[in-house]
Amino acid sequence: MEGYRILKHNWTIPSAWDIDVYRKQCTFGYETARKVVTTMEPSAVRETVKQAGLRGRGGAGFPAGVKWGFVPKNASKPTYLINNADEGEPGTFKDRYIMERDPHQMIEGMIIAGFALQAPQAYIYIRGELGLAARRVQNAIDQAYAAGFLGKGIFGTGYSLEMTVHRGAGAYVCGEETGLISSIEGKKGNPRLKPPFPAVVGAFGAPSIVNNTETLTSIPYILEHGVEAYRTFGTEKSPGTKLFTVSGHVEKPGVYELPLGFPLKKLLYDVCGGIRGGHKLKAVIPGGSSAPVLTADEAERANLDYESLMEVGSMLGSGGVIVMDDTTDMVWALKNLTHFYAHESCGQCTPCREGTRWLDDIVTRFYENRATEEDFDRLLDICDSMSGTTICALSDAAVFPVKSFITKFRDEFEKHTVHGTGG
Amino acid sequence: MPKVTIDGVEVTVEPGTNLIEAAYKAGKTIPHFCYHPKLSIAGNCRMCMVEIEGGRRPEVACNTPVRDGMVVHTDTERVRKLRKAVLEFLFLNHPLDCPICDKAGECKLQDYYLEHGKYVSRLQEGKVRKPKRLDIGKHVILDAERCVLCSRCVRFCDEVTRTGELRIFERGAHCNIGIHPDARLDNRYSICVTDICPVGALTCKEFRFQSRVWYLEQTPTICGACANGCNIVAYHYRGEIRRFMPRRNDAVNDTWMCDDGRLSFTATQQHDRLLEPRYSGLETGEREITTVVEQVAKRIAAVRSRHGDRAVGFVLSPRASLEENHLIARVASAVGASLFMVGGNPAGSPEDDDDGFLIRADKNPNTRGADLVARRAGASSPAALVAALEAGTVRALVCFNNDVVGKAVGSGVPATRFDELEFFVAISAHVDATVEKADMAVPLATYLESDGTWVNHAGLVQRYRRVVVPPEGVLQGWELLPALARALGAEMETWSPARVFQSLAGEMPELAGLSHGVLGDIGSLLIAATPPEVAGSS
Repeated sequence: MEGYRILKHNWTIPSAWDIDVYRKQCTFGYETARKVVTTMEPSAVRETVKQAGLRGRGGAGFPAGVKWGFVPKNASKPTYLINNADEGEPGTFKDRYIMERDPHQMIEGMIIAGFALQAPQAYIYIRGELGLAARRVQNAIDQAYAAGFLGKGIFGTGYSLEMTVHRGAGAYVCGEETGLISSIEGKKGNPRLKPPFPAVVGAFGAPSIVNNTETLTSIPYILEHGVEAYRTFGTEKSPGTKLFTVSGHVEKPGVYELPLGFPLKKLLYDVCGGIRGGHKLKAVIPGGSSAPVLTADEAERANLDYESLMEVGSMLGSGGVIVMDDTTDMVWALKNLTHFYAHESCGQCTPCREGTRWLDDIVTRFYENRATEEDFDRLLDICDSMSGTTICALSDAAVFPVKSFITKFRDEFEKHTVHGTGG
Repeated sequence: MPKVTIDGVEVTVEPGTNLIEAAYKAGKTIPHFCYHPKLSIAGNCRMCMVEIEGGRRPEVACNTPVRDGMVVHTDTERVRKLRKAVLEFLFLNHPLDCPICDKAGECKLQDYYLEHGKYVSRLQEGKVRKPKRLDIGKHVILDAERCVLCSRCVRFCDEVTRTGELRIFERGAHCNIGIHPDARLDNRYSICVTDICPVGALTCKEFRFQSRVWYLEQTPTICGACANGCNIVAYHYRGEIRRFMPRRNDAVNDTWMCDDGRLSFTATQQHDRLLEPRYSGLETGEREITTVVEQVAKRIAAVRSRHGDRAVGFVLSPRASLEENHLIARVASAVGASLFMVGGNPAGSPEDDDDGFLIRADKNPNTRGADLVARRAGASSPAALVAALEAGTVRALVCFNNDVVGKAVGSGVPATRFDELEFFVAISAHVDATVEKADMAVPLATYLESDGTWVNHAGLVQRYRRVVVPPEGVLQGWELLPALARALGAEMETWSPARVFQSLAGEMPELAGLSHGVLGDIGSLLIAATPPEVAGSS
């Protein structure tokens, strides 16, 4: 798998988080950033990333270069670059590894992105629970400042970039880019109405670009090796490699870097050593808990890229692959998820605030064998009222698992009704 | 200007207008909880969703500015479904305690349920319990269970008063409006949060459990507590005023008013009312108002015959209407008496000063109007009155709705100045220092019992209206003054305030073309408004 190692290359090098090791033994070693900042035009950097087709790795898959292009020309306020390291999607633990194992490559990516946007200030918003990651990142930033790669006039040029770590407090909704911006401003992390979009009015009223940690960490490779080299990985519409975090019932769970378009079946059975203990595969959530669940059949047909997963009715999302074998109680699994979303709704929008809790109440009723046949329609009806009717996507994210679980595994839920065998 | 079609009705609106406002123009009301025309857009209640042709999904009308050629549907099956769903969501954790809720009858949840809800409850789970009966401020009680979390009150405190006392705490279904630790909702506009609360979460202590709102009658009028002249609606029941609420007038008070003004009706209507004539140092006479007026005239006539016409003084009042001041000036001129412009309400405490928003240091509603009449009629200054009292050239003084004594004492003139008068009469709605000092006191209707016009601090001429009838035996100024003129032997017909205004407008270029009809509910600026001059400060 060595050839795929755009993102994971340095993870096996001991102490790659130390700047000396990073500069001497690791790829890029701030030389890519130096080359970009000293020899390239910002517009050329933006164009390169756009041509590479790098898509946002946080979940939505929006092309990063296109997003950068939304910053208004001649804005009266500075542009802020924000690294979204609030990795909160259940089943996802890639950004944490990037920050713990290889923070300098991420910072190097941010220097390049910051230069492309001519941003004077970059923030790294790190999820509150990720203590080691935050310490490693802060240490790496301090080292980069000391080496002259951050701060005033970096690499001896006229470009200055300040970088600040902002710790979250563990709210899932702060991973939503406008919720994250509210939190950076010191407010409750409530997502904001769009429009205006952050690229126009973001943090402190200034244009702001929020990119996922993995997205930013992919950038040095693109600038070092070029668009074509990057596009040799992945598919036409989903170029490059991506980190997949496999958890659950496989023999070898972990973080894997794979080219997009990689068959899910191959990931499960070849890369991860198959389903644990000889059990049978029952279901896979392919892209973090907000992605609709796939049955074993669907999972074995799917490829890991944005389009293929859309075709089977799910999403690539954050790449958090949650594997469930035949011992899994799907009602319990769904209850776990509905509880999560009810707990994490910020509570602004009526359908999400009330709906996430209602869904959880009804699913709990299934779990406790108190549900009735009518509850299936009730759940679907509530889901319909929560879809696309709120400020951010948390409501939709809460709906996807419910709809997919109760339709694809209806027989299991039937057993939990008062008339079912489970009652 | 963009044209937009809403449910088949094409309207042209200002660029940037949102769909809720555009729909009003098209004669459609899009239901909403969190939207308020004077607050920022929150877009959180999700009640105002509409379908826009060419759009992927329904959008909130409050955060959607019109685009030229936009075609909007506010009553599709999807929209109706979503409205019903939002209501069902809101009611999940609502206590449904309408029978004991003060908001019942003017509650958006109730109204919308009847218009857009009407579903059968599908809730089987228990409700989320939240704090109730929280005493969060001097005038406001919070019931967090009734709250729909629209955040209007939070935005009001952040954006209008800029005091920021309220916040939404917790997350998800446990979200609740609350007050910051150690804070109190004690800003001077705090009761406004109860107006904008679409439900019964925030209620006004002074109004709680006082009335069922559907029994109340409404009269649009003006608050008389200071020179700002906030537009209000007075709610009353069987001749008793129960509350003031602000009425929108973007030229004066937007949709707000201060707490002092809002609660001022109790003092105006009940405290220290002068309901019967007072005879000080005189034999007890008839209490019939016409007899009282004759008594006053007799005393004035006596002074006239002893010291001449100019020995009688009339005083204009910054508390009285333009019409009343005009009549005072006419009576004075008809009998050849002296006319002074002095008095008014004593200034408030230093904390009660101009706050740059709605509260004015001048606690008189019509200082500019009285000043206009004073200049027109050539009234003398406060200093001239003091000099005349000292010199003994004025021997009788008629004060109409004017605490001349209280004001004078407040500004350092000794009350004993008025002792030298042979006859001192106060026509007043309340027992004040002037009434206490006067030889005779004649009861008068309050501004809430009468009609008239005031000119506010900014030169806006506004009509106030009779909200309740005066107590028995108490006359309104426009009835009393002509009666006094006739008793003094002058010719003066009793005209309605509108007719008086008409004659005034004919004389004064500042009021040219204005009439009660033209003023309507939102008033008109003085024509070529003259800059305000501090009048009545002795």
